[in-house]
Amino acid sequence: MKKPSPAERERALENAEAARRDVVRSMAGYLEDAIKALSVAVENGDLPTIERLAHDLSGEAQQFDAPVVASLAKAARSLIDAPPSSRKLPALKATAGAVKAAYVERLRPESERASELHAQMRCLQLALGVDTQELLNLV
Amino acid sequence: MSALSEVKVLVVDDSPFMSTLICEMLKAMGVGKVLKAASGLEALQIIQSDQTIDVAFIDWLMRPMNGIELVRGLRLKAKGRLQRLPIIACTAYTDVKRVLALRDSGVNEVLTKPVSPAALYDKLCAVLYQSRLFVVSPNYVGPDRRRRAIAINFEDRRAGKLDQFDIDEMFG
Repeated sequence: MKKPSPAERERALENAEAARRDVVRSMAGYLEDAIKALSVAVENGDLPTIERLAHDLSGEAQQFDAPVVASLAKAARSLIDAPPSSRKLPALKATAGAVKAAYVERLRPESERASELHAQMRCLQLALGVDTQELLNLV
Repeated sequence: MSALSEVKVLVVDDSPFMSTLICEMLKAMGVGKVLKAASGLEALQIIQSDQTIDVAFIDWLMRPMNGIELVRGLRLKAKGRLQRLPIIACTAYTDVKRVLALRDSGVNEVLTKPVSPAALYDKLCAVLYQSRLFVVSPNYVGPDRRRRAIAINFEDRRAGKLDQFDIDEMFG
């Protein structure tokens, strides 16, 4: 097989980047479904399902450029890895609830970026116990 | 015609999103044929029935049969071209322990998620055009894990040893 030239590589990368953007755009609903499924598993304390979904979601969220969702997946993984006595399920439930509210219930449905910012605000609100509504209105 | 137009790739991932993403990017790069499997078991059936596959991208965590089980099965039990199939493992977890486990299972390359077009292209080209020696030993079957040619000041027994193991004798 003939090795591609640098020009072919350049062209291939441009085409692949366009394809990547198309897939991410066309499958935006997939991320919401994944968050919903993980939230249900967290709510039920279903550890095997949390483990499986968190594994998938951690890669997918990064691919969607959604760092808060990736953090949720990471937190879920940490919960699984922690010894049973130190598992903080309520904290994970709060985070899952906040991310789900921002992404799935669509407080502000304009864009992925807006959803991500909302998720960050909701997490901050929960963590600090402060009213971030004014900040949310600015997003 | 693209240099990759004659290449046939199998993408194994149970996440429909990741699977679609990788397949579409590969097609856009000019890869001639892209096949999909949603589990290790389905992948094994495809690989066994179609021995013209050039490269397989395999996710780590799947059911039934995860990526490591599939790779170990191919490396330890298959024969000939099937055993030496270039494999690129895909994972979102990049801690040293997991990467070493993947390397020691006999994968050729590790592709980390999120997957960028450049990483995908370069890993594919690495296994197609810069293949390493394939080692078949009692403790390890897979591409040579040493990527750097380090000068040694003692007898080099590697080249001779590599050919001394006969796969049919060992697993036949």
